[in-house]
Amino acid sequence: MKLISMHITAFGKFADLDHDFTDGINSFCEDNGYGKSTMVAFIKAMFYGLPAYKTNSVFNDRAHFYPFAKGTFGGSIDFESDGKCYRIERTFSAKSTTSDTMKVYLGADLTDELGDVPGVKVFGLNKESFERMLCMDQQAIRLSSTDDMNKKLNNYVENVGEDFDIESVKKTISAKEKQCRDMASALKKEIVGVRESIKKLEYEKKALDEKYTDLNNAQKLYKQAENAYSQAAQLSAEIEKWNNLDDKTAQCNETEQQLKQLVQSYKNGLPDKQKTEDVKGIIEQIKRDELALKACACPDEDIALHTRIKRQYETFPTQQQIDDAGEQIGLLEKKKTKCAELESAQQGAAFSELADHFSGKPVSSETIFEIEQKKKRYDELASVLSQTNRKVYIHNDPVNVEQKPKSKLYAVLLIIALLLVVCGAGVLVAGKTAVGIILLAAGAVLLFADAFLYILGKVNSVQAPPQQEPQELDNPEYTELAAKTQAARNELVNSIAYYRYSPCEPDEMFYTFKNDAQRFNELLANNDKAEREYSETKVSCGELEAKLSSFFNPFGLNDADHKKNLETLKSDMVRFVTLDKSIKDSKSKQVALLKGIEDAKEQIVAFQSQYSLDDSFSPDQILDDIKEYERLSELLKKQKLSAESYRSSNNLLKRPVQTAVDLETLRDDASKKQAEFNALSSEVERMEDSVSQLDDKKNTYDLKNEELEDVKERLTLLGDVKKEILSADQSLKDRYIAPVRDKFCYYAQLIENALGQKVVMDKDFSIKFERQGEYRSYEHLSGGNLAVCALCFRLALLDNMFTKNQPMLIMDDPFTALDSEHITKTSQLLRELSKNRQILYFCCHESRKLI
Amino acid sequence: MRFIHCADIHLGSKLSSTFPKEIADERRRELLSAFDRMISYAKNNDVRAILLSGDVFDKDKPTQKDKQFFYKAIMRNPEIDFLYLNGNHDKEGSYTVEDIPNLKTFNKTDFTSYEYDNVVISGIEISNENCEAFYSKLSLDKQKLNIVMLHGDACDSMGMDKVRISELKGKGIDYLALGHIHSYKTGRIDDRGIYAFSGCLEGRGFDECGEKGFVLLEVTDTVKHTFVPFAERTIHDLKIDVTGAHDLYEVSETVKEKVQGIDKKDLLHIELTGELSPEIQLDGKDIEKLLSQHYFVRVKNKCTLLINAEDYKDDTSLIGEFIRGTTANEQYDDERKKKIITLGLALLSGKEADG
Repeated sequence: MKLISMHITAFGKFADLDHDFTDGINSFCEDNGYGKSTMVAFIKAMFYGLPAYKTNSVFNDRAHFYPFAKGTFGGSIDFESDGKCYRIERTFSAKSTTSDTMKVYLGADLTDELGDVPGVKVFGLNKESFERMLCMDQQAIRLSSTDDMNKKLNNYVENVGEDFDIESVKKTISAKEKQCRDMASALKKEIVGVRESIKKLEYEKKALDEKYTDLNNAQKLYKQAENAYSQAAQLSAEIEKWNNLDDKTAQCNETEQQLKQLVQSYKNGLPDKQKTEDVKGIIEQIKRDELALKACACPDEDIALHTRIKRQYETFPTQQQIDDAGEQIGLLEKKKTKCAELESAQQGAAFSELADHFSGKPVSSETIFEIEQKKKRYDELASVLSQTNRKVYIHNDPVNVEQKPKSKLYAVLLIIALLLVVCGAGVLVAGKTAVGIILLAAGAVLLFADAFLYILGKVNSVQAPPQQEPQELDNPEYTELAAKTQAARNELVNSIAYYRYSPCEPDEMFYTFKNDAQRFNELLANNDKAEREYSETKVSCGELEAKLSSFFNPFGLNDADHKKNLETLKSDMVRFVTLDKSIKDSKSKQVALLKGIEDAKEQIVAFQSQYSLDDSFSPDQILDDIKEYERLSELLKKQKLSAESYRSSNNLLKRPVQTAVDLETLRDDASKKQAEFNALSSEVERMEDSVSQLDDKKNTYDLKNEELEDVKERLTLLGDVKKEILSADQSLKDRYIAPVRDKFCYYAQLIENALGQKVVMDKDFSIKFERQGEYRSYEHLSGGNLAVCALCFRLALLDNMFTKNQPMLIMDDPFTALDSEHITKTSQLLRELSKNRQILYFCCHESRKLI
Repeated sequence: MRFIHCADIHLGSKLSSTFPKEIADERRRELLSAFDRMISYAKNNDVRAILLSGDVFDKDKPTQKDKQFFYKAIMRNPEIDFLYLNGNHDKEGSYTVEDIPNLKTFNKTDFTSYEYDNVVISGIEISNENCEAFYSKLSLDKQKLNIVMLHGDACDSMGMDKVRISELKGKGIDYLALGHIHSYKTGRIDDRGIYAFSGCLEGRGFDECGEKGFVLLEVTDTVKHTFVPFAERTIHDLKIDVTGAHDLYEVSETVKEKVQGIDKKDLLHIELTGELSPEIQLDGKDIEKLLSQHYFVRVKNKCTLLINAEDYKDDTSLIGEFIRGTTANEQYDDERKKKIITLGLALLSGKEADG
């Protein structure tokens, strides 16, 4: 079998790569990262496919070699096997195997003769075996060169993992058998224990059955005792109810007796309530009528008054006469008032005071004028005096004396300037801008000018020599004028003081005098007129007085005040009419009341005779008795109802016969039985809890037995497995090991020739080499020699396993431990060995390149 | 008027042979809870009576705790009648000695009847003595609506735990409320009536798969029945053929696809079948781990090795020799050969080294 060519469409880092293989050694010496391992993986993938991607697994080949640049993942390989040319074309999906495709061509035709896994058909090995047998890498060599050769030889043959050997499988099986035997032993013990528990629990279950009987009996006894107590308690309660009923019946009887006594206290029976209430009403009416009779009688004083008025007036004046008299009285009143006014106007305090000033004589107009002239003269003099300086000042420096008017000038200018400014502002506010500005400007100019003048003046005054104090002197003009004025004053005051006025300020005195004089003159004129009017009115009053007296005197009304007389007359007239009506009404009422009283008394007599009541009977007492009768009747009704209700609600039909039972004893007995039942019940519950484990135990027993059977079965199975594995091992040995040893010896000869080391394998596969005439253990070999030795084993195996169709051997840089001399020799050896097989040799360093 | 027909509740069932302890404990609690929930359902839906067609308890002599739970539940719901017929599991001793007014029972001597307006519910407990004779004792007023309660499998023969349906034809039965079979199932008795197994309320093991619940009967002038799925969890038994899987990943994907849509709170029993390449070392525990989101999963690997002796004809390795030798050994049957090869391969590949 040999590879012809391959085409990598996309696999790992390779894309669209073609390579042709040759017979013998195909050497690939490239730097690390070239993709040598990828090529090896590609070849494996073509024959065996790729494992499915698993999220929880390690980074496997499908994930590892999924093309970097995506694209179709796969390629094809051409090879020759048994003289036929095949082509395998495969594509792989990213994760699952389900979308993978594979086509196998025999020549140009599709074929299925290589099955689903062409590698198995072509090499007779599954993928794992292929990796072990046909792919050699550094690890394989290293391991084979450090571990037991004999063991490794078996491993290659038996196609198991590097850490596996038949001995360890045997050990594992033995350990598992022991484990099973231990488990079986433990299970047997457990089963015995569980069986014992089951026996105990079954015994307990039987006891529980008996306990159930006891419990039922105890419950019956408890129920019986409880019933006995309950019945006795019920009987006792019923008797108690009968006693209660008796009490209620006795209360009824007592009430009936009271009713009877009440009725018997009346000869003709208890009077009718309505009639009694009527009689009570009649009696009360009589009392009310009698009181009304007394009340409606006319008082004696009214009668006396009636009589007096009637006698005094005999006949009352007409209304017209009364009205006339009223008018006359009004007229008289007015006249009297006028007289009084006139009388009071003639005299008065003010008049007396004035008369006192002027001695009761009028003041002439000449007198008044004369005093007025005096006043005028005085006023003129006083005025002049006030305008005259009392003092005069004499200054030595005339300049300074003249400066005074200048300061006034500054002030005037300042005022004008300010007025102009204010006016200007006012006009501006009023909206007349031009005028306002002119006024303001003028004011401002004037203000500055004034200020300038003032400052100039000041400067001059500062520059002037110091002033002398002015000299003060009395003004002679003033002194003279003052003397005249005082003389005029004295004259005026004296003229007025003549009329008994106290001296004071001339103005005050003058005006007081003038007013009083004028007023007194007016009062004197008025007094004369009033005196005449008063006399006339007085005469008229006398006439009216006489008229009215003649009207009132015939009725005995002699009061000087006729108004009072008129009121008395009117009052008497009204009172007389009222009294007259009252006296007549009173008489008619009395007659009616007397009639009613008579009738009522007759009804009372009839009631008395109906119920044989003596005169001392009291309707209230009878009504109280009736009320009591009603109350007792109602009470009796309720008592009877209550008794009947009690009887029916308690179903008291027949009075039970009272038996002597002790309730306490019965209750104690029931309690005791209940306690016994409860205790038994608790015990049963406890036993039930315990017995409830029986099912579990039985289940456990069954499960443990099943488990034991499983263990036994596993033990048997392990025995069978062991037997079959050992049998297979023996078959393999029989079939392969002897030829392997022969082949190894053949290759050992080559080693001896190439490396100068004589290596042999005895019948127990122990590998030894000769040194200094002695066979020594392979462990003494150098690493490089061991690697070559391991290669020989691999070749020996392959020679035996593949007698006809020798597969290619893939060597992935296995000789890293060899020096250059050994590499040269080894490469010669490989040349020799590759004469009848194809070898794909990969290395990453020139030093290991095959020559 | 409404009734509930249920049966085979099996209160006190241990469940320990099927599930690990903690799962078994929880399922026991759920079994009790299912009974309680059913009573609540009855209260909320104006159900007049609950018909218990046998095997309320798992054992003849239930524990006090289970009895107390059951009878207290009845006493707490006096507005609902509980018609309790003993089955083959609780054939005696499960009735309380206490007098519970709303607990109506039956006996083995004769049919006992309870009337609800125009509905008459009759029942008898089947025993070895009456299992052939009870058919003749059944006499019903055909003018009324008749419900009959029995505990036994519907079949063509007579005997203990058996109900011969043909013997009940023409008796005037409108609805035959049966217990004993743990899955809902119905069939016809005659033109007038049907029989139905309500099944159990909760599946207790992998032999009780599928929907579980009770039957709701609505009685007007006929008896209308509806199955009400009521179990807290459903138990599924799946056989999954993984033949053709190239690796464990594909096996996992096949299993995932099959369990897709099953509620995570349910219980699963998966049997893997088919033939797998010796290279695929399939372990049921791996699949259980894969489905660990489910409440409980048990996987049994019943796959066999896909071994073709022809494939190893030219294999010159020890494995090839081992497989050829074992296959050729006539001392073993095929099953045995597959077991030997499976274990042998594992040992040779070092995978059984620590196992």
